[in-house]
Amino acid sequence: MGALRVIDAGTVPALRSQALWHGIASAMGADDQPVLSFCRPAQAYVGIGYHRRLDEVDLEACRAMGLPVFRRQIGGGPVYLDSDQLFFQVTLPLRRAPAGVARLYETLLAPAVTAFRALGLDARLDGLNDVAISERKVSGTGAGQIGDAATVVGNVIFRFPHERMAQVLALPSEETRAEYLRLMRRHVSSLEQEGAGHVTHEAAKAALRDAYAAALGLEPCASELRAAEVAQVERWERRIADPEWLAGPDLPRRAARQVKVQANVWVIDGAHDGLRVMASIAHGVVQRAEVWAPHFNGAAARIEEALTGADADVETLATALAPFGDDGDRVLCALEPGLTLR
Amino acid sequence: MASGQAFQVQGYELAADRLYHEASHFWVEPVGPERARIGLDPLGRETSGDVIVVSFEPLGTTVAAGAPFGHIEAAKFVGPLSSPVSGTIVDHNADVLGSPGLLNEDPMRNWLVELELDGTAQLEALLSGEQQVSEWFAAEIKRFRTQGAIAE
Repeated sequence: MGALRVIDAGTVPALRSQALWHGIASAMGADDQPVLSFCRPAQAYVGIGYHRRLDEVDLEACRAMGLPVFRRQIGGGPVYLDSDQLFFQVTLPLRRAPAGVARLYETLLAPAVTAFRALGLDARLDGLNDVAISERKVSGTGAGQIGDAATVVGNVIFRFPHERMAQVLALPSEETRAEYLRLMRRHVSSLEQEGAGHVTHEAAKAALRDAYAAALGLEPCASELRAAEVAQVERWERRIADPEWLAGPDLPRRAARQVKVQANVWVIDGAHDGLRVMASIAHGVVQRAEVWAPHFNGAAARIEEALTGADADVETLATALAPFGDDGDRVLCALEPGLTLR
Repeated sequence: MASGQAFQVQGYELAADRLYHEASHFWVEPVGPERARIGLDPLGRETSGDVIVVSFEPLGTTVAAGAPFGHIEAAKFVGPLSSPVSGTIVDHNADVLGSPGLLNEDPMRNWLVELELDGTAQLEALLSGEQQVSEWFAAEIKRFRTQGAIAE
């Protein structure tokens, strides 16, 4: 039986909590053993996915709250991270990783679900990559290829300050922020909220270690960072702290603001031709819609009613909005760019 | 649908006027004496998942074969777009940057970047011709199906 190196970095500075697993992946060679790593950030901060525009984060609010912002080389949106979250990462040589993104998640998140269940939580994989209890996410995840390694990362959310998460996002309006917060409270949970506040970080790590070792058919063995890994972690610390890295790749601005809450839940805030529309989408259905268009002379409320409960696809919404003529077309133009979930 | 003469391998449509890189599942289309466009073949696209974002290194960047000319994101997975050939990036496909979903619809039509090649001899290492490409692609379909990476 091969070995699963288990590296527990403990509580580390915020910057190290990102650089750690980037460095482990960068240092990994084709014949190296897989690594399960853990860390917990000593300070709160905001993380942003590789392909997100920095202007999705309210940098002024972050400064006021004393939160640094760090970009990671995996996907997903901006997230609030703090010491009430345990970060775990499983990293393996690319040639040993399951081929295909769907299979990668399926294989490398199933053990996380097993671990949550071992801790007494009725967890399941929701969509491709959220770990959820009922319709509430309890672990955010992401993945990427860094160097010659594939890494899947996640967190165990012990407690979550929904208000602070809502504060760090740059959103078009306070109505959108309020709606986002409402959906966050409903769809993003924590161990404490799920009645598992007694679970310790050590217990969570043990459950994850056992589940990953069993799933990968490997013997877990406690390990430390090797010299080559330390060098890569330090290199990533420099990179992640670099303002040029934080600025991110040059990406076009999207026509509508889309704020994701969990795998199948998001808020769209779009504008077109003098009107603005906000819509909440959950599991493919428009849950709520608000239209601001002074020139509609009362039609806004009827349009909101027509949208609510409709399937969130262009064809269905076009049918629902057809009775409103040009006004309906303008509402659809505002919504359409946000209908495909990023 | 591809712009050149198309042929199918088990339902996947490929173009006869392209060269194919075995390991990376990129196609290369020569578009001038020293220039080529690069795109994902249908298996490369399918195993990447539903693409939601692509980004490219700036114009003028020199990329070695195997080095990334950009990155791709699907389902919160970010991976490098590793160049099948070496050269200098002289153009990006702005349509794909603005609407990455185009790759999901037709990866053979939607190129990613155009390179000024570091010589054309490197193209000889790529697969070409309908028979050679079909045999390789069929074997890859089988491999990915065995691994559970694509549907039966």
